[in-house]
Amino acid sequence: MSYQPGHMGLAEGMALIFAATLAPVFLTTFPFSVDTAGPLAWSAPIISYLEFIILLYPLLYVMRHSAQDLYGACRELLGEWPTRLIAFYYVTLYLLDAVLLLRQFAENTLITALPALEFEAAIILYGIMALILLYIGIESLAQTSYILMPLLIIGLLLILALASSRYNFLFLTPWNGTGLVTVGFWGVRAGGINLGALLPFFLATSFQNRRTLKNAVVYGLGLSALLRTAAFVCYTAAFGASISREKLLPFYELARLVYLSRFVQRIEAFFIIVWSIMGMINIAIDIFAALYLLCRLFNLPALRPLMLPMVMIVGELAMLPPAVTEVVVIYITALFSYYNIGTLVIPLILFCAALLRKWREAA
Amino acid sequence: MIVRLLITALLLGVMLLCSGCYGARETEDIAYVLVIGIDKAADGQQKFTYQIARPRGAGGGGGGGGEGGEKGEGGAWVINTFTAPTPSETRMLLKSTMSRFPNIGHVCAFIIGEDAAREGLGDLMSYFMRNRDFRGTMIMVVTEGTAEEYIKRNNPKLETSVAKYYETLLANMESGYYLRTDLHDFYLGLKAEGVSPYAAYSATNPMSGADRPAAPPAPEEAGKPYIAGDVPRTGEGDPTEFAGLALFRGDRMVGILDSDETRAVSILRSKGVRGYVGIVDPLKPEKNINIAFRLGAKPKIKAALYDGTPLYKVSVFIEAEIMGIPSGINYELGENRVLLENQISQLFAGHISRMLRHTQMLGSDPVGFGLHLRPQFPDYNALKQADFTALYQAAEIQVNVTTKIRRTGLDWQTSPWQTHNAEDPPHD
Repeated sequence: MSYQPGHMGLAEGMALIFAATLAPVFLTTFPFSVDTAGPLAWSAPIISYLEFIILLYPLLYVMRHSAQDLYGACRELLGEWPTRLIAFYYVTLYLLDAVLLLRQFAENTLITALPALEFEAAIILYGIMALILLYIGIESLAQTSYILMPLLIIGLLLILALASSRYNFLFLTPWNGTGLVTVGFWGVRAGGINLGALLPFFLATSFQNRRTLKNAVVYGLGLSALLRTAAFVCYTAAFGASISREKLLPFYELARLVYLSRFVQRIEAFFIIVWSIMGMINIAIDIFAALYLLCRLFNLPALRPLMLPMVMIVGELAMLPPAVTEVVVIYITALFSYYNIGTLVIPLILFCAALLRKWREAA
Repeated sequence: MIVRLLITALLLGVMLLCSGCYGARETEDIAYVLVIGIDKAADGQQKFTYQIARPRGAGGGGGGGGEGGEKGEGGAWVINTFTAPTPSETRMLLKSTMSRFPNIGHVCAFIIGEDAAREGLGDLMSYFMRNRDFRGTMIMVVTEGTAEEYIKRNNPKLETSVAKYYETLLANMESGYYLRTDLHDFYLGLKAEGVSPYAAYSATNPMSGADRPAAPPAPEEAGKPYIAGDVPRTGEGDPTEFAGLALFRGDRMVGILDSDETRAVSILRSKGVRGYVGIVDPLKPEKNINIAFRLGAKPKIKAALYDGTPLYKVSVFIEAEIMGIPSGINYELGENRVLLENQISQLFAGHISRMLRHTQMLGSDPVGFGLHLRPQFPDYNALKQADFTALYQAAEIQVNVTTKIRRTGLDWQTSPWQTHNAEDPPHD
């Protein structure tokens, strides 16, 4: 197989997960959560992180049943056809994510930076960039993400700090939001956001060992969840829950509030750069994951010839929804339902299968 | 390594493209709108006044005013007023009047006529907040009379740019007699539970020197409170002045706070208040004492809910410095200093109480007392059901102001005036 992604260490794994899970901070996910969780919606990234960390150990347990990766473990535990079905589901999931992200990032670029640009041109632009990143390969993509990671973190934290004069933390009250139970369940449903953290399990053979894999998830997803939480706390403190739920682009709106003096304002252009990079990387990672699983599914010898057609299909699909509102609704509805099958249900099924096998072996 | 550098270079290239380099317009193709005035017009229409920067080459150079708008040959700006049902249409009409493309992304201030403000600004706010050309940091001012007239008559003498005038004036609000308000603050007041919207109040002074205080001064106060437009002054300066705060209930303006009440809001909102105040001399009431003051700490507001009635306990700490004691009485030390500190505390407590009575009567909470009540609700759904206006009007608010005189200027004690046994010498 010519598409094996090479060797990755903790840094690459961490960066890959970080880049694949940070994008929701730039999108409408949080304003949607405010409707259900109120001013405590900021806790959703922490709850979903804890959910994934709890799932991490069952997943690592499942991985013991195969010298390969999650795909291999799945085949050993469930057999050929259920594995193919599951792989097909993940292919559709990663493709859906790529399509919806591509459309949202393209639309957001038109709304915020390039209103005169044709919509198709924005899709093509993002598509070309994703294609270039795909050709370079996932290992290099991960390394690039690692190089960019400190700059992105500093940039995001800088915006949060510069907007601090706007924060009123009383907007985060009542501290329990719409009720701890409601918010807790909502946080668990928000676990679909962690889809990117599953990718290293599919690429497990590229990592040095299971410990590297575990640490990559803990630190990469942890850093992403921490940044998303900080951003959502600041956003709620600046806008209050009533306005928070209205905005299409929460972080962009926060960046627009920065006003230190006549000469230090309008810094959101810098922020648009940050989100463009994250968007392109995330779309590329999603398409790579879909193609990789497709190759495993059909035992294809190479991945590269599929890249261009796949990017074109993703671009075409991204252009189908008539308006950005539909895209946002589809993305959010899928994120809180369809995505959870992949991030919660299937890992638990595999864990149960692994336990059953062990019990049978013991018997 | 080359691959990584290649990716980084590619991303940098896209960054530039995505930051707005596509579809850019040259500066000489753009007309920069600096101020937008909004007035009520007949038949449910709106009147929009655009104040546009005139390039030096086109305007004949120089600063100063463009009074009279289009008539002002050589002025620094051009003024155009349009009447239309929606702001979007006025933008299109504006384009029909000039060769350049009117760019509203650099608007620094919105001037709202009082009639328009009293009719309600909700419809307009929806346009301002959703439109990417406007940003939350744009200043908002309510003016007496019409915005059109105000914009035409505002002729800053110390600034060449009207944008700089508004931004500098509202950045330096140390007196507390006016407060900077921008679109974000106003919109927050409209939508968030527990705080009401407000806007800086400004007016054009007739420059007649007539003394028209907004209210009688407090017993401890040497000066009088004013509302913009009524400050007793003459001279050749800019007739525009800022004093007071326009209060809103929902999206409608319901009243105006005077300068003392506005300073009380500034103190309770901890908006960088520092300045000077004249105090009646406690031991010699016919004399006044000059005091410099500032907030010693952020005011503490504790809230509780008893049988559905809010109780707020407000603690304010003022730091003061003696700037002049015309009576010659030694207020720097001992009991006299305590006496003076109490006098200052009573003055500010009186201002705060008067402001609270006024705002409770109007049903507008510019300080945001309701925000402090939010933790008392069992959850957000219960909070959304609450009527914060009714709660504020029913609230009991206890105010405690403490003052410490920290410094005494360049003198540390006062020597008594030299007394004369004989009659005062004859004056010229």
